[in-house]
Amino acid sequence: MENIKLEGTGRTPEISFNSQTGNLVISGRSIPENSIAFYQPLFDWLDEYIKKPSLDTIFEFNLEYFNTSSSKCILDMLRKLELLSERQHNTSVKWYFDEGDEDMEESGNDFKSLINLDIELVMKS
Amino acid sequence: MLDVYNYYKQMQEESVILYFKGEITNSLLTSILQMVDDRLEHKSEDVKTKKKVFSVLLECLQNIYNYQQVSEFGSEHLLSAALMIRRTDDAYHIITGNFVENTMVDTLKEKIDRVNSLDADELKEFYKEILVVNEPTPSGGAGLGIIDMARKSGNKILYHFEDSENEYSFYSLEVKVPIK
Repeated sequence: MENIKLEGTGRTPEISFNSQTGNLVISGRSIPENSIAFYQPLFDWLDEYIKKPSLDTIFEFNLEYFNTSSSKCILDMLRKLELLSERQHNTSVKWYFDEGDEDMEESGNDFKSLINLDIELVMKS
Repeated sequence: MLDVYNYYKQMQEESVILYFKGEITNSLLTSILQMVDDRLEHKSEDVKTKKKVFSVLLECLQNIYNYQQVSEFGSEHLLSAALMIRRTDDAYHIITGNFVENTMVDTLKEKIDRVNSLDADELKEFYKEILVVNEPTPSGGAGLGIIDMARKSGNKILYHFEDSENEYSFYSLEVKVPIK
């Protein structure tokens, strides 16, 4: 399957989904007013990916900002990975936050408590 | 001639750093966010404060924008909204005003009153509850904006509804983000 590589914009994050390496990265700002329109192709890609995943999957969230409309989409992506993990595939999530950014750290903890996945909170220094 | 100096003095006295009135279009939303981003950068505000102000502002404006996409206003001036940002010694005040249909008033009041009645831990739980169950509305909003504003600001949300004309009320909202 094709990899996804999208440049970030002022409103949407940079995306790099690689099905060969299993490295999925989302970084920058995710603040579109209609997040479904942006995330739908990513959901579709993930649905395909989990049918034939790489040996290990690492999903990295390195976000500066995300709006509440994106948070629903983030949860939905994590749920897809949860399925992968339930099928005994190595699946891990890294949630990055800047030192002192308690809100971003808290958000990581929110998702961690909602999803049955190994979500590691990583402080950037 | 209109007394601009008078407006200026009043805004100066009330520590207004930004005032806007008009329709919040998509491209305007981008410009406002960019402008506020620059302004916060210029004031060398603490990164925590900066992020909180930006997030709250974003949710306020997207709430207005999303509401405008789903409502059917009879007249164009009802699409006009107001945005004001004040920087006082201890806080940024993000204040918005927009027209809403009267039928929305009770729902909004109930929602904000509920949010205002919760402490930080309860807000966290409420946020997660809505995140998990709520399907997004067609305009993309998940109904989490108000809760997020309360969580990020750590303050009660102030609001007021003013009867304006026939089926509409003018809905004012103020969120105070403390300066660290």
